[in-house]
Amino acid sequence: MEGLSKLGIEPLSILIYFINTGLLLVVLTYVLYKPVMKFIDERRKQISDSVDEARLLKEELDKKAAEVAATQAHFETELKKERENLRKFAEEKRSELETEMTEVRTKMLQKAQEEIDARKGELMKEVEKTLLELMKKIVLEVVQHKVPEDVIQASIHDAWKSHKK
Amino acid sequence: MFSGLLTALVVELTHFLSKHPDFFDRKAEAKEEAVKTLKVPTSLKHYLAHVSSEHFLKDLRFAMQVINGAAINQLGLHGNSFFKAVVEFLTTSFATKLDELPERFYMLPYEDRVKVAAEVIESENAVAAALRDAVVVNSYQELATTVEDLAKEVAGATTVLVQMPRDIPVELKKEMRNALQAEHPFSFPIFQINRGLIGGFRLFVNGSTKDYSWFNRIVKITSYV
Repeated sequence: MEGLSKLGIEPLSILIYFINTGLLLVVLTYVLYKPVMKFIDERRKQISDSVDEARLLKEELDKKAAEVAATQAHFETELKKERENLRKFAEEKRSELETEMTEVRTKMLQKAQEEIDARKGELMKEVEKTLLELMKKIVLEVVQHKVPEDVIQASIHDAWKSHKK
Repeated sequence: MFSGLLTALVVELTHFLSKHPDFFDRKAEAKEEAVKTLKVPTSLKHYLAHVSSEHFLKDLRFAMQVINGAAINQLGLHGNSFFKAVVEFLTTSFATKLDELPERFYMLPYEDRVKVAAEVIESENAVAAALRDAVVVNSYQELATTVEDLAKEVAGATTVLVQMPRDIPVELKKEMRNALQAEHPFSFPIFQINRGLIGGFRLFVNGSTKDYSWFNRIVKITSYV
């Protein structure tokens, strides 16, 4: 104790220091430590809640995503099916149309051919008739003006002989 | 045309009978002998040699009616011997004389026609004169139609028309006429020129046709081609 006195340190002062420090600790504990701890706990809880909420949301999101994926897969299957049906329908329609078009084309071609044949026949007949008329005119022209008199007389004789038979 | 010819025939016949008042009392051979001097066509001589006096008078009345302008188709002349003899003459001898006339006869002036007619019908008697007059005054078509109508009325003759591209020789015409008349008694084949026939001839008998013409052959050939 004497040594501490030589150094200028009083035991009372030391006690007062201890009491001051204790008081300070008590005051700090009640005024600062506890609100801070409380705040930290609240914050921790808030964060924990947020994390839980996030986890729940994530789970929900995963669930939703799975549902969406399933729905998408279902829709994709449906769509694929529909597309396949549509393709088949389109194929059938195309086939029907092709058949119909072929029939129509065949009929049109047949009709056109018939018309062509008929027109060809008519034209042939017309040409034939015209040619015959022309031939007749030429023959008559030649025969009427170029036959010698004795040949005409002979023709009458011959015709008379034919009649007598 | 008929009145002149019939008048001539009646005059000749009555003149002959006045010369031979006992003609109808004679035997057939005597009649045949007597009519030889008669200046009428052979068919009428034959008629007179075989007809009775009653029939002759009856026929004479018909002839007078025709001469006076009565319509032939209203007298009931079908089968009448006198008119049949006239038709026989017209469709044979007279027709042959008509055939002898040149193609352009009917286009000649009157004087030339008289001259040509006198050359073709040479006889110098009333009948020949009447015929010459008929030939000169009438066209071939008129003569042919008149004879044809009489032949139809009296003997039920058929209509015969021959179309040819050119006029033919008299011999051939005669041959054709005789053959056609043998086939169609009492007919008067009418010869007609149709240059369009070119060759051969065309025969019409009562509406039916036999076509031997070149025109017909050409038409047939061009139709078959």
